[in-house]
Order: sequence, then C-alpha cells, then structure tokens
Amino acid sequence: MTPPRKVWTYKLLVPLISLIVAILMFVPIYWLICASFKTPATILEPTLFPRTISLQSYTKVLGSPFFRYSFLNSMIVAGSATLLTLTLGLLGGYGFSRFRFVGQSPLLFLVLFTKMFPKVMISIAYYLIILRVKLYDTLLSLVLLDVAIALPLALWIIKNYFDTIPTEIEEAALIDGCSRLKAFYYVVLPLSRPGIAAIATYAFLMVWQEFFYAFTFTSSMKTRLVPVIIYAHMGEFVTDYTWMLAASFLFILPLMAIFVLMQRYLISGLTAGSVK
Amino acid sequence: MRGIFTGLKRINIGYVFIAPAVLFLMLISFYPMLDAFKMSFFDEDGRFIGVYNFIRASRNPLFINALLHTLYFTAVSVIFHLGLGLLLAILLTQLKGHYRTGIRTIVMLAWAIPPAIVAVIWRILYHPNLSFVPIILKSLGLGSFKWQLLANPHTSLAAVVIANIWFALPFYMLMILAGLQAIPKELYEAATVDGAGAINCFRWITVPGVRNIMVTLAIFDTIGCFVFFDLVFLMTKGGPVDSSEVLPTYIYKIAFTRLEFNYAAAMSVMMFFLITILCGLLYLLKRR
Repeated sequence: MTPPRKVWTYKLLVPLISLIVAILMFVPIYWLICASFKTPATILEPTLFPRTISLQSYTKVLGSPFFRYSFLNSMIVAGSATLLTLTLGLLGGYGFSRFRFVGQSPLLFLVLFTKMFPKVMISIAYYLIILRVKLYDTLLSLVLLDVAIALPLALWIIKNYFDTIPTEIEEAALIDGCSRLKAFYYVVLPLSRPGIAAIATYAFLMVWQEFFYAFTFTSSMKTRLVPVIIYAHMGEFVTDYTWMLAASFLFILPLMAIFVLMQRYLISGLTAGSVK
Repeated sequence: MRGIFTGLKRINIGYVFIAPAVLFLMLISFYPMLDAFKMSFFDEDGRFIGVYNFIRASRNPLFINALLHTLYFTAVSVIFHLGLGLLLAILLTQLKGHYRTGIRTIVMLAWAIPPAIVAVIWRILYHPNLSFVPIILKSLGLGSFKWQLLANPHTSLAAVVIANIWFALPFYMLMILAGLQAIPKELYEAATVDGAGAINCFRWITVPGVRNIMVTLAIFDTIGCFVFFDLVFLMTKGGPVDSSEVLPTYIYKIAFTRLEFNYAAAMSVMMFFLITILCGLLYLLKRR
C-alpha cells in the first residue's frame, strides 16, 4: 500500500470512530434528556426524539415540596462538605508539601489508605456510634462522612499542586516578618486558584453524587437528599418515570454545568500526580 | 541554640498544618474501621466468640454467592475499563486540539452522572417496554431476543456490569491518556525510522510506558468495584433471587435489614482482607 492512501484512510477513520464512540457514550444521557420532556403518555413510546415537547413532568417535579426540600438539603450538604474539605485539605496539603517532619511519608500514606476503606464497613460501626451520640438522621453526620470521602484525594491533589509552586516567594514573605500561616494565606493561596478549583470541583462532585451514606443514615423527610428521593420513586409498583427523569435531569444540571466549566482544572488536578 | 529552636519550631508548625486533616480522618474513617474489626469477634450481646462469625460466613452459601458475583463484577469491569480505556485513549491521541477536547468532554459527561441517575437511565434502557433498544433489535431481525435483562437471573449481573463499564470508562480513559502523553514522541519516531509497524510500536513502546499507570489504575478500580454498592443496589437490589447480589449489598442487608451488626462486621472484615490481598498481588505487577 502506498503511504498516501494509508494516511488518507487513517485521517478519516480515526475521527469517525471517535465520533461513533462519543455518540454511543452520550446516548444514555441524551435519552434521559429527551424522555424527560415527553408527556407521561408518550413515554411508553420509545422514540428517539419526543414528538411533542412538554414540560409537564418538570412542573410536577418543581411543584413538589419534597423535591425542593431535598434539593436544598443536597446543596447544604454538598456546600458544607466542600468548604470543610477545602479547609482541611488546603491546610493539610500545604503542611505535607512544605514541611519535613518525622512520620511524613507514613502519615501521607495513611491518609491515602483511608480511601481503601469500604463504605459498608465504616457504616456498620458508624451507625452504632451515631445512634449513641444522637446524631442519627441529621445532615451533620452526612457532611462528616462525605468529607472523609473527598478529603484524601483532595489533599493529594493539592499537595502535588503546591509542590509545583516555588518557595522563594514565601521565603521572601517570611524574611519580611510574616508568620507561616499568613504567608500561606496571603502568598500561596492566591497563586493556587487552579488547584483550589480542582479540589473544590472534585469534592462537590463526589458529595453531590453520594447515595450510600445519605440512604443509610437518614430516615425522615427532613434529611432526605435528592438521590434518595429518586430511589424512593423507583421501588414501588407504579413507577412514575417522567417524575424520575425530570428530577434526575434537574439534579444533574448543576453538576454538568460545574463540570463543563471546571473540567480543565479538574482533569489537570487529577492527572498531575498520577504520572510517576 | 537559635538553630535548635528554629528547627523545633518548623517541625511543630508542620504538624499543626496537617493535624486537622489527619485527625479528622483518623476519627471519621479509622476509628469506625477498628471498631468494626473489633465487633466481628463479638456476639450481639457482647460476649466474645472469637472467629465464630468468620466460620459462619464461610459456610454461608449466600455469602459465597455474593463473593463470587463480586469477583466476577470486579474482574470484568476492571478488564473493560482498562482495555477500552486504553483503546479510547489511543484513539484520542490521534485527534487534534479542539476536536479532541470536544470528544473528550462528551465522553466524560458519563462520569459526571451520579450512580443513582445512572441506575435510573439504565433501568429504563433495559426495560422491555420503555427502551428503544428492543425496537432496534427487532428491526435488525433479532426480535426473538427478549430484552428483559434485569428481570432475568442469568443476565442481571451482566447488565449491571455493562452499566458500570459505561459509567466509569471516561475516568480511566482520561488517566490512561495522561499516561500516554507522557511517553516521549521521539521513541515512536526512532522506532518508525527503524521500520517498526503500528503493532510493534504498541508492543514495545506503548505497553511498557503505560504499564505502571495501568497497574495503579487496576488497583484503584479493583477496590472501587469490589465495594461498589450504589449501582448494584439501585438497579437490581441484589437481583431476582440473589442473582446479582454482591458483597456490599449483602453485607448491607445483613447489617441494616437483619440488624446482625457483628456478623456483617465479620463479613466486611473478610471482604477488606480480600481486597488487600488482591491489591497486593496487583502491586507485584508493577515495574521497579
């Protein structure tokens, strides 16, 4: 085969295949979006494009106080958990990055090791502890556990990021009489916006998606989160699919928006430390 | 004197910075783990019964059933995550700039979807009446193939595995892509000058280059799939007659439905040890 012909088919085939793959990966999402705009009657017709666009399910969902309340709960939990993860993670990552001390490597390994702990295993003991301290069925217990999910990797990402920032500027600040904490806050943090964006996005993503803890440790309506509400609609005999689809789409909308906006930071944060 | 003082001060400050994060994780993650470990040796009434729970679990056919399903789930998921991820990543390296970013964004959307929603989507996709797949199958002449995967005990677990592959594939593709980009292009150029074709390039340059990343990702994925509760539970709850029961869902049922916390703790300890052994074996595959 002559080289020019090979190059030509190559240049056409690769983008084509990648387009097909992308479409295949996207179809389930596309299906979700389309189906949520159908009327309850036509949802039983599996067509690829809705014949009539109807906002019926959306009005139903948005009108439901259950959904609105659980959406608010999800925002509270995700927001608080992200803030807490940021606080602990930034301080901890800075500590691991800038200081040499006894037990540094083992402690870092220990932090990452916690990611290996199965949720089910933690939740068995945690359940009994929670009952004892009367924190059962509160949003606080969820926030604490969700932070424990996001913190290890967030700390790792931000530590790697801090490692790439030269120390000269901090040292200049220290010579000028700054305390370590002030140097961290006024000098390093403003330079770390991409890293902060990465771990904030990651933490929010993880917590927003979380189902197991939200499901196990809540029982009343006032602490329900959206994934649990959606699940509750699935288990019964009469499943209201339009409700579920509309609720699902509303739920993933903030996630998608944040993801598309922040993906640059998120991806560079995730991949930075992994190529070793 | 001043030297010692500044030295001490530096060590102290370092500890101060990491203390909140480390202490938090010790309290919230480590302590329940140790507690569960301790619980597994005791009875519901607090009596010490040694390894009785472990023996009971190993004789329990439902536990063995869940274990086998978990191994199947994990193995198939990891193989496809990494295999397809590698293929997709290689595909993406051949694309240019904006087109690559566009394709990457679209593919990555699947990962941003919460497992709860993934379960909703795929449950509908697998539904005999609501999904468009049976229509496509019928038009292709495969109408006799009953599209009823979740209700069928033989296919329920496989159906969940497929959803799991779809859901996590973008993440692994991304990580492998990063690894591929770290391989210096000069190696490929030198090889083609020496006359190596695509297959040889792949065998001798690509594979060794990404091997370490793949093993790390394999470890990560093994842990993740082994303990993955959300998707299985939300799609099948353990499947028609335990056909898609995995260890996390089974342990959950024992703990929170039957309220046999100590027994469940013992099973989760066994699961944890299994994970550790598997990861240890995988780690041996890493190149020094």
